[in-house]
Amino acid sequence: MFGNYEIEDKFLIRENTLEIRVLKIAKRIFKYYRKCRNTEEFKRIVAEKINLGIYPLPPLNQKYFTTNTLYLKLRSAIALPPKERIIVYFKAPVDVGVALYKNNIFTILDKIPLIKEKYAIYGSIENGQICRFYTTDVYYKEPQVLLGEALVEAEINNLSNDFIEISKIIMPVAGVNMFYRGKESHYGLFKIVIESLSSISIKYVKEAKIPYFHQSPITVGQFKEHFRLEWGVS
Amino acid sequence: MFQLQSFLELSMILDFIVALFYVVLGFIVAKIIVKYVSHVFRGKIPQRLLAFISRAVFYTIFLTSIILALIVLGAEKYITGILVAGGVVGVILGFASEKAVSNFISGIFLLVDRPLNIGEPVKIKNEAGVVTDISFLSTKIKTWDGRYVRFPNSEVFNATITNYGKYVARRLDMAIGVAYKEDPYKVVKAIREVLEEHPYVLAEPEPEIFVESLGESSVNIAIRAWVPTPMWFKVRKELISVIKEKLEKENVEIPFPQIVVWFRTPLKIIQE
Repeated sequence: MFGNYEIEDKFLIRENTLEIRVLKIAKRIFKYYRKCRNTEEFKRIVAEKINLGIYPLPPLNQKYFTTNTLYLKLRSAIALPPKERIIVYFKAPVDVGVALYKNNIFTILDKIPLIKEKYAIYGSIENGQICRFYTTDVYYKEPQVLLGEALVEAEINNLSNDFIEISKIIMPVAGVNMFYRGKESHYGLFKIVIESLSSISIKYVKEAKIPYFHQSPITVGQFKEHFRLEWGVS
Repeated sequence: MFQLQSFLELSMILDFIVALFYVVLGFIVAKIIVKYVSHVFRGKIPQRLLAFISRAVFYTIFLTSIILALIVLGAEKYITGILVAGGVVGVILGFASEKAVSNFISGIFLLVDRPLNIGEPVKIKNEAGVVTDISFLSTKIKTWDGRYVRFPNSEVFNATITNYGKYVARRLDMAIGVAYKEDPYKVVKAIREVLEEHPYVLAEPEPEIFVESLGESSVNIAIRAWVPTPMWFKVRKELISVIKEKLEKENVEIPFPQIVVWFRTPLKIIQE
């Protein structure tokens, strides 16, 4: 499903509740139609032929308020002994992005949220952050993900001298690389370093490659390499 | 005679060059200091206040250099007169522009204290709307019904200001009355489902739904839900109708106010 498509005449993709259709309705005029859950979208595109890219996009909200982070609430907390390191996987929401491209110039035509949107505050009401909220299990090997979900690989390193219990993960997803394979999406690798209970940082490994996955050619938002958890981890 | 005249002319030319030097030097020093002040305070104080401070610093230094230049040119006796006259005019103007000065000072305090910013929804002295401008003398808001209201800054500074947009989230309070025959736990569960389904009702802080009071004709259920501040009104509008729909679907009765009228003596009903 994810990938690049060259459309000269018509195009149709149907996956669960999602339907994307492109139809040539006149010379150099295409009609783009998308239906998903209860939302519909129509657009007209002027072109001889269309190069359409369908890629996973991080679910950043910029319409009414800004959300650059994901708040993953873990169904079961992780207890990590001092000086221990672990690699775990989570599931996180992802949007389906429809892009037009020509000569390596991309423009996002549509952004489709496939799973229910929910938000939460990380931090205080006065100066916390509004994050996209999702509840996930913790996996110790790569789980299967559905369309609308993406895999997150996290390396958690407890450098402190205390036991750490992790019940939520706050991930900055603006500007990250997204990866795809068929209908599956992947956020890539995050490194979480716990130096002490009050000093926790998350680093997205921008240069990491995910085997058997293709890297999406588009990124959304301003990338920040380090993210410091000001309000703790559990 | 001729030598004395040429000496005086030379002296005047020299004075003029020195005076010009003072003016140019004052201009350059003022520019450098303004640049430094802008660099130090950029991002720390509001842009408008920074522009004002920069201008004040520039003109103070530049005017000082002009006064020095005039003294070099031998105009000190006039300068004393100008300063005395300026002082008198200043006192007169001070009395005349007391309100303007008060507004101006309040404007500076407002810019430093920042209880409100442009674009924020606020309520000042019973007028609510969005702040459209904060100048040194006044604050303007566009009310919800599209009126332009201008407040002198001294009034804004002394007034109680409610800023609805200062924090990232705002609590939405609602109360719903249901009939006494209804199971309150069933009602709470139905409302919770609605809140969980709504994307902009925040998952954390978790919404609270509870029986608040036993009213005259209904059991009153309170809802406290946090929503992102820009979405507050939209969510409120949507929730009222969605909750009503949900309760109707669950066959929960929302009662009208009821009064039981009791007569001391039984009523005689006459049938014709």
